[in-house]
Amino acid sequence: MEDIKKVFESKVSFKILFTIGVAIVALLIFCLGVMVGFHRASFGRAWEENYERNFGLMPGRPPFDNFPNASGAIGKIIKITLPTMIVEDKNNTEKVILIKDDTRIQEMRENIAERDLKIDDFVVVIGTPDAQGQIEAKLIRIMPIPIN
Amino acid sequence: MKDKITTIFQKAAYSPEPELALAVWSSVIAQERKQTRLKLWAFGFTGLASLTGLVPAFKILFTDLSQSGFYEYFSLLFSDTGSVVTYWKEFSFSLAEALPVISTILTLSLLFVCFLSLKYLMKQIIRSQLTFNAAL
Repeated sequence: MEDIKKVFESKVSFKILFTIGVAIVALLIFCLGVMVGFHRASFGRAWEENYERNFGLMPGRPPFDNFPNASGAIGKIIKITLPTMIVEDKNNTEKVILIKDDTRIQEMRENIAERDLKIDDFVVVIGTPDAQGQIEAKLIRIMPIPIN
Repeated sequence: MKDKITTIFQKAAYSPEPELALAVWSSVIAQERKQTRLKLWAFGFTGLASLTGLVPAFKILFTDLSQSGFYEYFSLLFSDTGSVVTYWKEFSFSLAEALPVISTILTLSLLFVCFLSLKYLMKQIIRSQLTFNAAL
């Protein structure tokens, strides 16, 4: 019994446990990275495939080289065609935002209606990407235009 | 017989020179001091270099944070706490995708090197003081 106790209290057993713990944490972080990467790449693929359908034909548009953020958009509203609007994101990527019945639109402390949205409003959107390369908005917040 | 042999060997015992112990001790102290000085300079240089590098690293990090939209997403946590809690999954994904990973890693690495260098630098300073006292 004493020998077994010595084995579990030894430095070797501590090193083994520590190594296993580090491996678990590393694998969890890796899993998280794969999840976020897949989420982003799926939206990027859908956005690219549906570009002409969402935004119209654009000859000479730059090649797609960066996956846009799949769960939100930050930028100015450049077109409103309810229930959708187009937001020009920070890296000059256009995103179609789909406004649904459960979408909350906030300006300061007030809830506003979708018809109160105007072109050139600076918005922050969080939502869920869909298979058509659009973002179904859960929350739209109108913010003051940032000073750059 | 045994006692006689013991007495003979005791008389023939090696007697070291009186300054030998002092010479050995001084040599050890000198070697210790040399190593401490070398480590002091090495950690001092590394600490200073990492501290200097932190200035542009922080600049790059703040620029990336504002350009990626991380700051705007993060501010929703304070302005729309209820909505963020309800849609925590979408919010987490937005934050994770907007996080500037490379500049964050660079800044944290430099901070790590800086703090580690400072820690070992203090250790060497204390050790050099102890060595000085021991030499006295």
